[in-house]
Amino acid sequence: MSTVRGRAGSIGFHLGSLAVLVVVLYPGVWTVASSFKDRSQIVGSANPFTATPTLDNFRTALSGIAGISFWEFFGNSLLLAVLSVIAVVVSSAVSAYALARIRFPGRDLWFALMIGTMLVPAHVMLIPQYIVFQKAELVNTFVPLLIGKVLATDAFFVFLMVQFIRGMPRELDEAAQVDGAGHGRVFWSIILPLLRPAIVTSSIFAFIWSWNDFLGPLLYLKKPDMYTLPLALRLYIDQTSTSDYGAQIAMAVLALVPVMLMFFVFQRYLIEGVSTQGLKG
Amino acid sequence: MMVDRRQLLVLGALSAASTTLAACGGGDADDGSGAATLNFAFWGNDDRATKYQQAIDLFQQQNPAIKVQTSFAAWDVYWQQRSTEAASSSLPDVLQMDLAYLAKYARTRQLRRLDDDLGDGLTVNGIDPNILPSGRYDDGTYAVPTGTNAFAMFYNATLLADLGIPAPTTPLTWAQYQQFITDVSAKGAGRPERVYGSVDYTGVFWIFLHHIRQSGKDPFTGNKLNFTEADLTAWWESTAALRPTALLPAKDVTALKPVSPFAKSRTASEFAWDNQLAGYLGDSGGKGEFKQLTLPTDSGTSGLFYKASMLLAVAQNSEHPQQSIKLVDFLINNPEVGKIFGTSKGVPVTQAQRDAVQASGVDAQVLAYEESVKSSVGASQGALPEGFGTIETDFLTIAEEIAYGKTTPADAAKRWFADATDALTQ
Repeated sequence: MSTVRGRAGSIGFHLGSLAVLVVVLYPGVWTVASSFKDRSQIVGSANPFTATPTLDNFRTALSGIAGISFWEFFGNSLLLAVLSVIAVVVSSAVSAYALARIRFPGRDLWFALMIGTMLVPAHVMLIPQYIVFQKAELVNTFVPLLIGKVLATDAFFVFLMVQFIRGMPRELDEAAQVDGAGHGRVFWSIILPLLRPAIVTSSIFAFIWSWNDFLGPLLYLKKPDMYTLPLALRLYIDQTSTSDYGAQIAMAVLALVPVMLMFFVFQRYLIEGVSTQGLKG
Repeated sequence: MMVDRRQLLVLGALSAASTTLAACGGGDADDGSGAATLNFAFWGNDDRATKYQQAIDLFQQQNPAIKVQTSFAAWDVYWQQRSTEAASSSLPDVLQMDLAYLAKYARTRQLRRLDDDLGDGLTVNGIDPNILPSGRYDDGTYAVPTGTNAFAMFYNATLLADLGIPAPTTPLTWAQYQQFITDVSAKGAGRPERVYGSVDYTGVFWIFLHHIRQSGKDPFTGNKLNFTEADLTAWWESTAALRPTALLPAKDVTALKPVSPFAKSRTASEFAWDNQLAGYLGDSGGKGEFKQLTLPTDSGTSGLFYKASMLLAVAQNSEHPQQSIKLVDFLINNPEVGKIFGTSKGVPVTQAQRDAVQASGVDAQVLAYEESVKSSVGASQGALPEGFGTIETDFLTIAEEIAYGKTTPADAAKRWFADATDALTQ
């Protein structure tokens, strides 16, 4: 009796979940399917599928914009994302180790200040930052987009790693210190290997945030051949003349591929990283 | 995300020193033949970028000492970039300007005052004296128009022939136009995808402004509205009788956004700037033949004017003003440039460039339309009041609420007036 009711409930639950899933996935399906439509059929149609699929939109998207190939935009995005990941991981791990394990004067104050930077909305600093980089003649280089990451100013990642390191038993470092290891050695041989889940989590976030970043490249990259994909996507749409939604959607789909791949490959670590980070205190 | 404080101070000191030095050295001192690299920014799509690149290549051939670095972005992105640059006085040497933003940049003196350059480096005698003042703000000229648009009433000739309704002809009164809408909507009701005469055209700010101009008034005096709440209420009430059945419902308009229902043959007529023709043709997928007429009018005055669709300005912070002006001069006057762009930036302002346009297809139709309204256009519209963008968007939003039946024209007009007065006095 109870198993029958249990099974009915389970079927109901799954059907309900599927219904919700359809609703949630619809925009994504619409985008991907629309990229195969003729460009004049895309806007205004809620039905994602078409009887006459075409690859024209992808051809237009891949052929590039104004003499700049799709792969150049892709390369810019990828370069920024990869450098961001490296910069974030290296700088945040070192900073987190210092803040979590080394006693130095004013440590708690610095930590509090760092957390404080998370509370300041990025937009407040936008213009002063721009002025500094502009005066330093660093506009139209990747430096403004990366220097902060090299200097571990992404407080979120530092905080994530500090909490993670604080959760590790101190006995491990102490044992190493007894054996004569200095901070460098403790960090490299003890902390870093154990930090892996946090590093993976940070890498994924750093990659996705950099890949999707719009405002940063918008302000600091003015040369079309330095544009990243999110900027290039906008070039197909012009309110004052004609717009090519087909090519835009096709490029959007292409731009999604690396992020999706990244997510599928690393999702196991992502969940692991976030949950272990939350558990220890 | 920063350099630390000490570095910042050093950077600040260095940059202050270097700007002072540059000022002493004097970018102005060179005579325009000197070598320079200019930054030139414009909004537009890849098609415009390709055309500008051809024009720039030509310019560089003729002026080998000057290098031009172009940068382009979509409209909204473009203005975000410019406003950050304005904050640090690092605008590109030459930039594309729009009537809606001219006041903002001219008032804060971010743009070079061009009055002394007119006729001296910057040839403008090819430009219609009616259109040249578009680039004026207060007492000076801060931008030069490159092309013009005129407003038009479009109709879809194929669709009308299909429905068996004769195409409208001018002169047309607003009442006759409404009758036309009613006729089309009645005939179009039997179609699987219902066809209407028009959308609720009273929701478009520019149509209303033309309507005001038809009564012989300028819609703005300086930074103030030159029409009354009663004018606006009457305008929004004028389509009240049509709204229930004869106008394409607002929800259908929204469903098709950002493509116009007119391009999709859901409506038979629409008001827009004449250069919108290319957009309609692109979005229609080849269905429909679109023709232009002057606006309906009750006063006999069309209210039409040549609007500077795009202007060029030189930044005040430019270190190479002479070379920048040379580039602007080239883009406005060189016939080859006219040939490259056709009417894609609007109909070229100078006769030399208009003549060079190899008119066919869309170009020919737009040129013919602007030529045909030549006798009826009034004085050009100068810099639009700061905050124009805000009040235009607000107009659209509030009119949409009327279309959805959420508010009455009188209440809506009251609200818009309060908002607009706020936005314009800021």
